[in-house]
Amino acid sequence: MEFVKTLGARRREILSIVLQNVVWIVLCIFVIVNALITPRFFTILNIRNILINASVLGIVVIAQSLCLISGHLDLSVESTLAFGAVMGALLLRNNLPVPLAIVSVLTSGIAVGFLNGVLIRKVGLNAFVATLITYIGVRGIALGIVEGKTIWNLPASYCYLGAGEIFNIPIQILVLIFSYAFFHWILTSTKFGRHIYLIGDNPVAAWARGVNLDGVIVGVFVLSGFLSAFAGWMQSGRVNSATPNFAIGMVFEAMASAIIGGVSLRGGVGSLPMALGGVLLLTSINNVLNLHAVSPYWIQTIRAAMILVAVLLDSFKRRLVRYAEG
Amino acid sequence: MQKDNVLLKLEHISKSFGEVRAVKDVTMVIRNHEIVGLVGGNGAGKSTLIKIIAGLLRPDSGRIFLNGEEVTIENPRKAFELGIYTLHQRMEEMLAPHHSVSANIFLGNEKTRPLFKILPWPRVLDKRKMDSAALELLQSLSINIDSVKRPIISYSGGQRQAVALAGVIHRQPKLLLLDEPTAALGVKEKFHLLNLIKRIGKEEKISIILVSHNLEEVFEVVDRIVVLRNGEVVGECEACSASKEDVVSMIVGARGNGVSEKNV
Repeated sequence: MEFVKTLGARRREILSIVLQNVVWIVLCIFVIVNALITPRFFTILNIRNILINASVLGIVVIAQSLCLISGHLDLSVESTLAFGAVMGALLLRNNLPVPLAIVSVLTSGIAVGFLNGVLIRKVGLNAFVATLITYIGVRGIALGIVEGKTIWNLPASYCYLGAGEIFNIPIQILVLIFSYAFFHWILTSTKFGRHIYLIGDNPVAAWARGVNLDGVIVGVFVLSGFLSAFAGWMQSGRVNSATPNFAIGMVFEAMASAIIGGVSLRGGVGSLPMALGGVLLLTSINNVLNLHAVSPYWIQTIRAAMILVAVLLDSFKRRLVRYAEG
Repeated sequence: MQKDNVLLKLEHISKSFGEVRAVKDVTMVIRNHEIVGLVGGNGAGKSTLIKIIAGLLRPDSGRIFLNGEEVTIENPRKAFELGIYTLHQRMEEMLAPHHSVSANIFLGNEKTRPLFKILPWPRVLDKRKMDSAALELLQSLSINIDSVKRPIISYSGGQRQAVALAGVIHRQPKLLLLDEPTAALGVKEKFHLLNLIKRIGKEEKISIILVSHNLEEVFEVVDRIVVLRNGEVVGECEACSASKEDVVSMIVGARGNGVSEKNV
């Protein structure tokens, strides 16, 4: 890392811009290489497949990124997803109208997020512990209310979000793009978003200057719960069923995507477009391994290597922008 | 009862930590637009007193008056609402390091504009206005920052301190508490910061309490010096009329003369 010091200011700047967008650059290279060497990769059907596979994870990554940027983390996203899905399906089984079921699903997510927020800000638990409790507990509730069973055959109107299409474009893909654009706008252009970043960067400074920490952090967790439950609705619509075993282990995939996209675990650094890059990169790698008929078990190892590289790049990036002493 | 130009008045303030009486029956006055130097050796009670004014500690007894009205400062937030701002030894720790200079100056006080001109809501950040206002503020304080858009971590310690100070000035405080502001700085940066403090006191009409070990810099900047020893106010003098030797002897006391002189 010594050579950083010898770089000129201009080169430093270029290098840091490259590093800031490294996920998308890697993704482009990956897509180009595979378009040449992997048969059936660069077809509309396959690209569409990748995007569909990325959509549920993508929404959860927004939830996770919001928490990570605010300097916290949310382990409960996957449980909230499963709970929302199961809850909606159960209510529909009991002949509740679709709009009411949808409202209940989203409310359940908000409730879990609010509980997380209260446990962290009012009870004073560490975010890891608080969301570990809901991670285990909410999955428990999801398993409990349907006694571990899967519910099939949901109404078509309820499944529209996960399985519908507009002009041949799956709705989930449109929702994915819209959600990223909207939450990126929230983060970069509103006071609330700016405060999420500032709290993640230095909570003491934000507090001392009068930022409402309770409000912003509870808000972040409520949004995270909401988005997770929303992803649960989408997932159950896509497979036309709901099981309490939805999305087991997705929280780690979500964190991996965010970190690969350059969202810092230390908070205050990262952006949603980059996190989306992380999601697409992970999903494409998965897809290519499938096309080459590689055992899916190896994806774990590859993911680990990618996280390692991402973290190394992150610390290198920090060195580039830091004031050079002496 | 109160004189018009008195901003802050402490009456019979005491604070103990177990057996240790850190501050004993301190009565002092800060006037408007005045820079007061609070000096004393280690353990004299300077920091405790500052923390009481800043709302970090509650006094065991005594009363605090601000503009003639009695106030209780139960936490830093309250102090902040009253217009009392504190900057500690490393002010830069009160900045968000990965955010731009302008984001830091407007931290917690962001300017917004309506997204659609006809509707009052939703409101979005007015980045352009904040950037230009930040640049203007820094220029008016002659703080040397080349771009308000670059993150804090790309600037030096002294520049960071200056940005932190500018962020506080921007809120137009009534009283500024500076707790050893130059302790972590190099010689040149120290000089710049002291000049800045001096100018702020004069031009922005802010009362300042400057806590310091360093008598040189206290004499350089302040109007009046208050000396603390063992938690009590042992002396007060105008900076222009007193000599350094007088102050030193007050700080160390008659008995301790020569023993703890290296502290000052």
